[in-house]
Amino acid sequence: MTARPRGSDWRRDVAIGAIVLVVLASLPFVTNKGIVFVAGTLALHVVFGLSWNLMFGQTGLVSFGHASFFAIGGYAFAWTAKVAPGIHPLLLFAAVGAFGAFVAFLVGIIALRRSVGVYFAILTLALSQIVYLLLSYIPALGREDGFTGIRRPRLSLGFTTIDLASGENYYHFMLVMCALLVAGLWWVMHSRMGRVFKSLQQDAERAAFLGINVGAYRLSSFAIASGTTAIAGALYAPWLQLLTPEIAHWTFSARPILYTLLGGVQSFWGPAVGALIFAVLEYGTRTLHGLSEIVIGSILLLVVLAFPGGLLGGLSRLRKRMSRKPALVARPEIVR
Amino acid sequence: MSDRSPAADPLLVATGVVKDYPSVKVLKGVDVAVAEGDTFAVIGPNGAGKTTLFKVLSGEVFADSGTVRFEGQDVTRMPEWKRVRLGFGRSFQVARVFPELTTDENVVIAIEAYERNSGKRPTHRLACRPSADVRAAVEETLLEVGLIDKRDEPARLLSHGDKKRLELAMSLALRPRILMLDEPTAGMSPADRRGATELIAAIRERHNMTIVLTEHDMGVVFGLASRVAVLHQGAVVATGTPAEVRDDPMVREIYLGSEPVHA
Amino acid sequence: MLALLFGPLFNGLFTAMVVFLFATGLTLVFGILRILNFAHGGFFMIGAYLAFSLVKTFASDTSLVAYLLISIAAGIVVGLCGLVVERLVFRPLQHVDEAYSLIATYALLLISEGAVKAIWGVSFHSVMTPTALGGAFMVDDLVMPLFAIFIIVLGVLCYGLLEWILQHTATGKLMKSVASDPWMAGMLGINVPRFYAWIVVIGFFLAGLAGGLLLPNQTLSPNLASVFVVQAFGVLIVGGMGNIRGTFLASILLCVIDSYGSVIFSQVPGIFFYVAMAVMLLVRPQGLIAGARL
Repeated sequence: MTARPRGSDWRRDVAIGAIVLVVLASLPFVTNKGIVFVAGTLALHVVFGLSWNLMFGQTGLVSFGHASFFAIGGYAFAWTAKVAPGIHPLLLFAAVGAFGAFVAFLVGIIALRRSVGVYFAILTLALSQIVYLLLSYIPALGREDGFTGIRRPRLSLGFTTIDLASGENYYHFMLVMCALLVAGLWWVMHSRMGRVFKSLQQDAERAAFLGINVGAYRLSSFAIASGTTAIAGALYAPWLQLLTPEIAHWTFSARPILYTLLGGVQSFWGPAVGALIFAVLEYGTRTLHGLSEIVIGSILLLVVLAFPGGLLGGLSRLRKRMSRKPALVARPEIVR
Repeated sequence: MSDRSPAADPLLVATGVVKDYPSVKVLKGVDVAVAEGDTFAVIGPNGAGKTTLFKVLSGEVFADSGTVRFEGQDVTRMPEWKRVRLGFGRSFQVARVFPELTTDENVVIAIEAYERNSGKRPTHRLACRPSADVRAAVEETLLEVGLIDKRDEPARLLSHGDKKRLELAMSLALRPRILMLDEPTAGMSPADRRGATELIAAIRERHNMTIVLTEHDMGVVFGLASRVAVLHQGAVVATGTPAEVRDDPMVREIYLGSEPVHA
Repeated sequence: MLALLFGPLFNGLFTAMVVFLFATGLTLVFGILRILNFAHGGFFMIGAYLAFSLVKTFASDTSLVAYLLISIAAGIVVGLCGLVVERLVFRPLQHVDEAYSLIATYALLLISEGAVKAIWGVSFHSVMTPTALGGAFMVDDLVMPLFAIFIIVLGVLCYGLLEWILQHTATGKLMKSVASDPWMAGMLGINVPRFYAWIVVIGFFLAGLAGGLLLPNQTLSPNLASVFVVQAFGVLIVGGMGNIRGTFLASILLCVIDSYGSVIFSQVPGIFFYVAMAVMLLVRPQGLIAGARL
């Protein structure tokens, strides 16, 4: 929420979204498969980051286990598609999303009991460890070798059937799905519910004194973000056609945190910008294997210490400084 | 010395409230009864337990023993958000508003909370902007507290006095039955203090509000209060009309012995 | 017969003391500074790897004295790293939302994990137990390795020492007062920032020391940090968020339950720890010993 008049927000965001979508959709016609693969994965990571920020920037919850839901979504989709191949893919995606939200609900009942932020942070980390353990040991899910042979489904839409396995169909399908998920997140953040979330991020106790059931709303935010991420994970399974337990590991949970801090916590597109920057960095250093943890960690640390508001936060501060009188606060105070 | 309102059952009753913190007994069996329409002031030296009593009454903390009843209902262990839905409003000593949001947006949240609490279904479920009803109510509230020209300011940039007004506006937006003001004029200049007192009085008249407040400033207390309770070291030592309390010798000793009385 | 009944108990106690030795530094830092130091796990790992290199370079891995000295050396090196971390990371983030210090220590964990991989590689390493601690006691069919007994005794001694310091010495009173009210402590003339720096150094020292001491027990791999970190956080929370007694009791409770659970349900080892943790938190969210600062 900003001080600018309501109307301009959604027009600007729709424009940005449309442009990005068109650019991404046209990539298979202008570049090679490698870039297309990065672009498709980027789209998923954008959803991954935006949904994390629904919890963090919008509701004030820090999760260190967001990757669990990505993994849960992926594996749930892959396994169900394998044992019940007749299920319509769209239905399966929806079901996986609901399942992810349900798991978040169960976890949230324990993890959101106390309003101390550290409590939730630790328990989400524990969740990711549990998921990782389960994925590494359950034979039906492939264990450390991973879940292989995931097929891209045939999508029947009533009037026609699209074979997502042929050509770049799956890529375009994924883009459409991601666009829908991003739009959904945008809607949540700007809706009445999103405003309640924002009040929790600003001052949860004050919100409680407005009669807001803080626990229930936090749970909702967690469930929505997790369900969305689960769908992203489910989209990932047929994209890569292979899943390994690594996507549940907490190092993967660092990604959305990094994207958000890098790109900007308070801006809707912040995590998307961060994801893009990171994708470029990763692609640029892809030959230097094994440095990724140091790179991720160092960048994250630098960003936290230098720009808590992220890149877009820094840019907006710069813009304000250049257009008006100097801002009253030198460093944006992040309020609990 | 103390007298009960002859009218109907009191709106808010606390009986035998005890609250301990790890090394200190803060409230040692406090009884207060607030009748509907009262402006009830709780006064006492620093450390007497005023803010803790407030917290117990409003639900921010729970009493260790004793009861709190609102409209006859036992709310002793009811969390604050449920009490708000029953009709409590609360303002904080240091005004708490949502700092990064504008004045307007702060009030929007309060009004939408009110609508939700009163079970009103949103007219357009898919809408992103606050509904026309909400926007009208926001406008009205901002006018009432005199913040209409500051509506697009981020709340953290408001002056201290304006923040208190905003907080008051938000509490009012919930149409409370009983408004709890924790040191409403703390830190204000004499001019601001007069303005705040007038605002509170105006609100009381307009909404027929029951008010419970704590204060250090005797001028504010005598100007607004219909009944006063004096808290000292965790217990109520005197209750009555402001005049009765002022003339009570024990109260004079407590005050003249420790604090100067503000004019 | 005994092995069936008491074997898991013994193993559980052993693991509990391992976790406790690791979690002590974490509890101290959290109890006093209210900073959840994710990097504790990373620095534990660095301590262990450092000790490994020192053992391979300087000594035989069979000498008890070398084992103890090297562990202390590892602790000192890691403690010095803690000094740097406190200055460059913790202090600047003191007044910013706690979420950012959480993220910062999380970043430090990633960096230390990456650093270990870069310096020591990804293959597994291990060292032998010092000869003096090799061998085992046998009671009936219950095998109790001497090393495990050593660690259990060490853990209990460590707990005893800390409890004594905290409850019966002036230093302990100082620690508790800074933990519960740093502003007041500052008013009373205590140099709180310097005190904090000391605590961080001690916390890191304990992490490095634990790394060295627990080295003979481990197969060294860069994944070491993750398992320990999450378990330490678990006992921290179940213990009551920042007090030593709670951490000690929670370690025993969770690890013994996990030990018995793993016997019954061995397909997914370690899962019972989290089941027990979840149940404890459902039943008693405030932890075993609630409200105590240290």
